[in-house]
Amino acid sequence: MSEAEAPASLRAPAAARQQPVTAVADADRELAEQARAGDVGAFEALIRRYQGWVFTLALRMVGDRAEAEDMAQEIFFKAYQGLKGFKGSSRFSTWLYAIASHHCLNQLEARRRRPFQFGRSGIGQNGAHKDPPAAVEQLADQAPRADVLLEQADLARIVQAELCNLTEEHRIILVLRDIQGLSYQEIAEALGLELGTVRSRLHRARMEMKARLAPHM
Amino acid sequence: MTCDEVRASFSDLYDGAASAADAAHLRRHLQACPACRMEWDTFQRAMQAVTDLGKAEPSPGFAARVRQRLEAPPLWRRALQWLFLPLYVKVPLQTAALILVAFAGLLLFEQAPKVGRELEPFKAVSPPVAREAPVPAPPPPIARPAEKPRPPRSRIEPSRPLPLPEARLEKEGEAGISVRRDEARKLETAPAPKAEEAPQESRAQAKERAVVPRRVLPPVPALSAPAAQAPALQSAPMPTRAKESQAPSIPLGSADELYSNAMTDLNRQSYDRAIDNLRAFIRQHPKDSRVPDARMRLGDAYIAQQRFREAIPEYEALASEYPDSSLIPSALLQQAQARLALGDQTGCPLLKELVSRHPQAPEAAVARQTLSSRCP
Repeated sequence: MSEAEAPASLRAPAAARQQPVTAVADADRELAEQARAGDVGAFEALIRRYQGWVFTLALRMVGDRAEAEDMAQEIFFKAYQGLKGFKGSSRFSTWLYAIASHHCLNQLEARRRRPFQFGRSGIGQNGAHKDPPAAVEQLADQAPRADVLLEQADLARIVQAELCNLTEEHRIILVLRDIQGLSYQEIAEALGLELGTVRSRLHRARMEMKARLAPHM
Repeated sequence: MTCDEVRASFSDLYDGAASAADAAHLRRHLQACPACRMEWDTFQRAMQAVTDLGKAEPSPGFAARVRQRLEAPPLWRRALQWLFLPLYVKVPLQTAALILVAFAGLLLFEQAPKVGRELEPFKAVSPPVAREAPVPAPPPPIARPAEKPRPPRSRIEPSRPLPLPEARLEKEGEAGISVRRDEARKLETAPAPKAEEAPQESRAQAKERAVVPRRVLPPVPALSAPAAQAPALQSAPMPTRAKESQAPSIPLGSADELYSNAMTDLNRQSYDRAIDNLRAFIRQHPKDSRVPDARMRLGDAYIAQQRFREAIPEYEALASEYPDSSLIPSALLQQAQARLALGDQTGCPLLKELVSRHPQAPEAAVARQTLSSRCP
């Protein structure tokens, strides 16, 4: 499928953004320039603009608010330290998404390598994830069982728990696309993947999520 | 289009990423296939549930907290601030601390000699005598070998009770030492030159030896001198330890005290006091493991004073009482040289014995050299 024939979702940025893209991008670039010159206030403005996005990504990836907030702080700290590497050729948001995505993946990878802290081996029912992330374990330990949750109609918690049962690479692509509303192109840039890889990986992630949520639908 | 193909396109269809033609095919199949339609409905509801998780906001003040962290000075700067700021408080404090440390160091330095003296017995216990004495100036120069590494003190045979001189002389035969009693008597009765005949040079050498560094074996100076020029002490009768034990002032004290005092005296070249302390140590603590060492040092102290006649019995006693001591080669060499210094050729058999019994000892090399030059 050529770029010209590609559907809008493959080319255009996420529709969720309200402001004109170019205006936002220009404002971001200007703030980034000021921050790079040492204006922390300008960077604070960027933080305010993107804190929801970054925090949401971290929260959906780890499933815990406090941990997600720490992770979001780390992401902005890294971004501030790496401002010299932002040349302005791409949008600030794309650059920040890449930093945030990689930081989340790295943190989850590091945490998975740490010794097991919880007694249970996971909440996955099909045994697909024998070594789930600690956050999933924590969430599972803290949360009631899925059927109880269903009775309480707390679907959001079930979805979050099942989301955490996905592999990190499936989880992040689902979050970036279906929660954050990024286009395939933006996801490819953020994760450093080919467009086709994004498409196929998103399909597999969605089908797995559907299979997991089907009993609760 | 099969059901599997349709279901594999759900993601594209959901995103609107399928081409118009593919989308039309898919929708036609879904209308016709109830199973695929049910799957599609489930898929849509699941994806909607994920999307409904929605966005979240961090706690209030998040941006300010991040900014605060960004503006926090780096660690090295915080460490510097912690060390030096505010200047008007910390600089005087640090100056006072520096002065206190310097003062404490000065006090410690002043106490150092005292501490050194207290530690002396412990130092002295380890290798007893360093056999690296400087070679006496007069020709022929005799290089004194470095002492062999000695076994730890625990390996030294425990000392035995101090025997009388007569018994000791008899034991020498058992030990294979070729100094017989009659030879010793001959030495005692041999005519001695007058004290005025002692060469001035040997007195000067004695002065030089008086500043022998600590733990250095005093050399026997008269080796190179002809027998006729031997010191006047030759005429004096060979003293016995029994006689010396009747010395008017015998210090009393524990073994450690006596030995420590003796070592300190030796280091200060106070040989008379060192001799008193060593004699007292040997007499009062005959079973102490340091007795062989004390005998060796006693002989060396006599040598340092050119009291060769008094030195010889000490080396003899060491050789007879402690035949397995690692000090034996040194004792033999010292005794032989003392005898030669007195013009007594019985030193030569001692040197031969040293060479034959301890051929690998460093002292043996000196003995060979002395034999070739002094024992034709």
